[in-house]
Amino acid sequence: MKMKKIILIVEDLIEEQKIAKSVAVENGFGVVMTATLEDAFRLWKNLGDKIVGIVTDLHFPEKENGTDAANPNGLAVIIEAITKNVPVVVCSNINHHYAEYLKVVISGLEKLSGKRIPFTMDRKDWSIAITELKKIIGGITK
Amino acid sequence: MKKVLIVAKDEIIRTSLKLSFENMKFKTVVADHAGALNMFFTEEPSAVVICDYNEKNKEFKGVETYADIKNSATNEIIFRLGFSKLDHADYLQIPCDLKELNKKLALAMSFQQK
Repeated sequence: MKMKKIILIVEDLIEEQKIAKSVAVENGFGVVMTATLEDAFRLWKNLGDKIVGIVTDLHFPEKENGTDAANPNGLAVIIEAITKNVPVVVCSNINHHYAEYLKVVISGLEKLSGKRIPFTMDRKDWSIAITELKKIIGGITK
Repeated sequence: MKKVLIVAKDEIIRTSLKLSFENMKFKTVVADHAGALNMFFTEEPSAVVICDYNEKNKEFKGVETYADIKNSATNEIIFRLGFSKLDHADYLQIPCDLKELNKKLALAMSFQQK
């Protein structure tokens, strides 16, 4: 029996989590889901190399019951993914008119790391995000 | 043969449940809380029984183990066991009758699609 590839999804809204999980499962992935940065790192540490890719929102709390959901904690997930050499895709609904600093940061991280970091804005399109992740993972495993 | 993952901190509990489920002709695998999620993905069980649901200590939080597996589950059956009195359909307060747990598990599995 071949084990499913496992991806970590970081998203704090329950409704979005359901959609994200459903899209990921349809695409054949096993899913680890979390809503906070602290929990994302805990799960990542727990599963280690079994996590083959990440899809992350940008704005979510650092800890459970946190009031800091407006902070771009997703940037920490992206940097951790680059450090661990794990493919990462950003799925955000941030209005592109107000995302200039994020575009600069993410494209800067792409240039510095030499890795592609697909970034969806304006609405959370989990299908595009998962498809992008699949493309990158496929490229790595070839 | 359907597979059940048993998660418990104490080996004696894991072994007791293992024997009980194997009597019911289920294949079983066991894990402590730290290894539960890993085992869930590796073994792909049809059902998971998570003990120590109310426990919270340095090593693990039963609630967290349950949430991790529940968040990753697709149509796996999950039962949680703990000492507190809680009103959840998938929760059994211990001490509980193993026959009752077996019966509930067998019934749930009979409706399972996978």
